[in-house]
Amino acid sequence: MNKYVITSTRVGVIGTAFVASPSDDIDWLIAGGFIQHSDTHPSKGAKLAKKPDATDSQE
Amino acid sequence: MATSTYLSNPIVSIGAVDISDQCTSANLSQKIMALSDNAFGSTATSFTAGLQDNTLTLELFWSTASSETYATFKSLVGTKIASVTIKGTSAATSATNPLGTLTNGYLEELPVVYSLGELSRCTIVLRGGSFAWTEV
Repeated sequence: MNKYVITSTRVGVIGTAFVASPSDDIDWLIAGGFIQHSDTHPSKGAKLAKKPDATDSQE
Repeated sequence: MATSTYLSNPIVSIGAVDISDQCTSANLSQKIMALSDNAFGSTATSFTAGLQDNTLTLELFWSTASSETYATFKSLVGTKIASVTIKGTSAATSATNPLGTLTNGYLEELPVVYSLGELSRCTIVLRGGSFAWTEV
């Protein structure tokens, strides 16, 4: 599920999560600068697809 | 006689976007067309309800700053706006502070007036769509 953060006081408190209702046009809100995608980072415990020092070459 | 005087706090929102601080006037016409249902034998004109024919006119200051009037409406011209809400005050919606919602009003044009020595304005008109009042 996509998450969005408020970037304009016209929509709510800046920095807080935007909870969309079914009638909200997300593309329009993003284009107008009212909200943006929330940055998502893997949690500390998230498993990586491959080890950080792994190489792509097959030797 | 009880009257309602709005000095500063009506709320006008385009979807989730509160545009109140750019809006100086909101003129709503909730209309349901009158269809004549007279027939032979009628002794007076008589009508029945037809289609809704609503109009909402908003007068706005024209600002091209980030997240202001231009950013709000630039991509909505020629579209049906999913939801526009209007309320007399920011207080909770109630029978004495009803919330009006115009759903799918069509925005035909975005006319802007630049004048020397004045704050630029634009007046937008939303035509059609369905309108309803909510009291809770």
